[in-house]
Amino acid sequence: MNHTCKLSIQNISKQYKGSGGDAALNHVSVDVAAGEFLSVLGPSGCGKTTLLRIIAGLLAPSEGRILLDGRDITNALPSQRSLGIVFQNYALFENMTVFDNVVYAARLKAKREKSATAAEVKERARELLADLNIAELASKYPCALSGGQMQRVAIARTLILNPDIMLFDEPMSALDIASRLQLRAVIKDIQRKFGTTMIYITHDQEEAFAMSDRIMVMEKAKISQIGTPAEIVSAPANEYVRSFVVDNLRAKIASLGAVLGE
Amino acid sequence: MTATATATKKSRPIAVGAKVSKITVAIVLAFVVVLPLVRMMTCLSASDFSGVVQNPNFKKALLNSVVYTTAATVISVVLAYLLAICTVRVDIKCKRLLGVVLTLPMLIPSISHGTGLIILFGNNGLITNILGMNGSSYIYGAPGIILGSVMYAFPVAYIMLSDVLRYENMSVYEAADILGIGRFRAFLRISLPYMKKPLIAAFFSTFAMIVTDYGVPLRIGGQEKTLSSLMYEEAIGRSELGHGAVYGLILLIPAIFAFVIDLLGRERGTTSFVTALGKASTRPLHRTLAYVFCGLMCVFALLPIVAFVLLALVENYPNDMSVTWRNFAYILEGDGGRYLVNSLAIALITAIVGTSIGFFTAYLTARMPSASTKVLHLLSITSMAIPGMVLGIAYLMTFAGSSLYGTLMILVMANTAHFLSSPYLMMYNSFGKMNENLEAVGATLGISRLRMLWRVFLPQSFGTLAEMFSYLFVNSMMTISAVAFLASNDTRPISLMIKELERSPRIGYIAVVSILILLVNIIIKIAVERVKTASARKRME
Repeated sequence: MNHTCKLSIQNISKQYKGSGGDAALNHVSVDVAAGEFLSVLGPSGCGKTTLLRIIAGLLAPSEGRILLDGRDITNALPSQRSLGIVFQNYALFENMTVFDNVVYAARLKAKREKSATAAEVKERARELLADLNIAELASKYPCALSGGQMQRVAIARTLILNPDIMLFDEPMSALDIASRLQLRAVIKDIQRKFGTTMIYITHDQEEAFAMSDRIMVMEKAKISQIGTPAEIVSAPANEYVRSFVVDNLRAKIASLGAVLGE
Repeated sequence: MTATATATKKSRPIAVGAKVSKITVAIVLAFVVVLPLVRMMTCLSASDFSGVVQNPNFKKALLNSVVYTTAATVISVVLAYLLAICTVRVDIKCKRLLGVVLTLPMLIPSISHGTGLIILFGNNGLITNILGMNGSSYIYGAPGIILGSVMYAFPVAYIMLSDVLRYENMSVYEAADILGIGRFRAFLRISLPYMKKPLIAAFFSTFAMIVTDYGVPLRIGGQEKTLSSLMYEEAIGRSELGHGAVYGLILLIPAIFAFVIDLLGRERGTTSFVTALGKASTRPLHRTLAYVFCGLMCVFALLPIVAFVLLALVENYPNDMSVTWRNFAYILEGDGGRYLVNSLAIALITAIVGTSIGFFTAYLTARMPSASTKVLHLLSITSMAIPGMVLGIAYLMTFAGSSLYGTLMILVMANTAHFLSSPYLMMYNSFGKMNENLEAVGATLGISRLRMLWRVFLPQSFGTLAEMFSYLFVNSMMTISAVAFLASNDTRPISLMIKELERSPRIGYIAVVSILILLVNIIIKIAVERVKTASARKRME
């Protein structure tokens, strides 16, 4: 991990119209280092998805700003932010084959920016499909794939544009345990191989602890604590972090120990 | 400048484009649906109302409408419910074929059902002759109106109710079984409450459909008048447009009532989580009863169509029963050929225009929701509440004298306005089921909204688009309601020939017209089904 700041979220707040004064995000600030894997952990409704959508440019903040490599991108269009996003429900183009799903946006971008030929884009897509172990699915349509396979296609579709940052919105919530474990490995491999900065939204403590360099725990639109997994376990900032994160995690470990007879 | 203000400025081109699109669609819908109705209402005078009320036939027609429509509706809904139970809840073979046969009556005009009954049970009817009851038929009047209306309306109620039954959550019954609740009690406490709303919605939709139809009562009603047949006689027979409009207003009441009931049902929705779909019964008694009942209903649905085929293919029923194509030749070589071309043109253009408007409007309301799209949504479904005859008379009062009047275009406009709401709702529901993050993915990948619409949403909606096209085409082919008020001699569609041929000495001619409409509609249905299947198969590869 490179310790230069890649993304700086500064004092971001969000108030939805008609929300009756309750903020969806309340003065959230965090710096994310280049190549870092930051998980945003919290229960439903704590504001983590709102934060992700603001970073992606899908939602305008009510207050605050966002810097990418020191450049203010608060008002930039989503496509101008060099960010990729992977959703829980895949959002693949069901009318296109796996290969076309991956290649479509890249081909448009290459044509627009005259940055690569169609053949080069196709070659890059083939490489990515091979990297993600889905090369044999290239001619299939999404409806013929499993959840884990669809999520790999969604990742390949994002990766082909070489994003500076990849955002994940609970990408494994709809997957079975075996697919989750496989996909965890895939995502960590990508992070290592491409050095991509990743921001990962989840409500699953175990997932956050297994994958992250740092974890940002959120509660009621605010940050409760930011730290490495070890820091959070050893020194939870408050009672909420202790009960929601640490105790839950310990309970899971204890039940696993009981099962294994240790 | 604050961050939000700048963000708003950056996204302005998309927001402005969306606003312009929404306003344009709203204006188009207001022009084709709301404006004619408002115009019709403002043209009415007190003398129109008193003229209608003082008509000696009015009270009797009102009573007839209420009584006959209620009877036909009850029979239609009961038959449809029993049919739905037989085809959904009992394990019988050939369900697909049954579905096709039972919905065939929906592909011919209502006036054809009246004609079918006359061919079968009229004074000189096929069955009347077989029974040796020539000249003493009881079909004219109330029996014919009720029976013809049931033939015309039961397939619609059947489709509504079988859809609801198909998606009923059966885990509730499994739970009832485990708790030791008997079947009869489960039927009373689970099935009926679950079906209450759909049954009420089916009842009112069927009622509105029957009470506003003039085809059946005009053809077989004899001396018995209903509000719709009186409206036809006043507006078309006597050119009393004001009186016709008053009848139209009266007929709007049940139609709007049905619309509101349906809307409330949709709003509350069937939000139960379906965890187990129904298992069809395999008990021999259930199967036998289902086969017998479905068989009888198929005969009921097919009888008029079979009669049309027979009569179209014989020289001159009942005098000369030799087989001939002469009836077809007479119709196609005469005005019928021209009218058929008109019908095909009207149906094709309506299908293309209606599908395009429905698709685009549904995209705006389902995928770009805002406060203004609620108005757009309401405008799009409003036409569901307006009977075709009322729309026709409203168009006549609005556009008579304009350059639009007497053209194919006004028929296309009226048909589009009349039939738009159902295909719009098909697309609206289809868009609602698509992944809610597609736009977000497009935005982050740098794919414009327009390109997403063209390359992602349009291809993904292919099956629904085909359904919309088919719905608009089939209904435009067989409608006799709005077009009866608006067609000129040059633009007359073939469905209106049935009424014209009423006095023809050869009843085979009417049979030919009904068969031609049925054939075209069957071809379109098969073509659409083929295209949909091929497209779905390709994606499953």
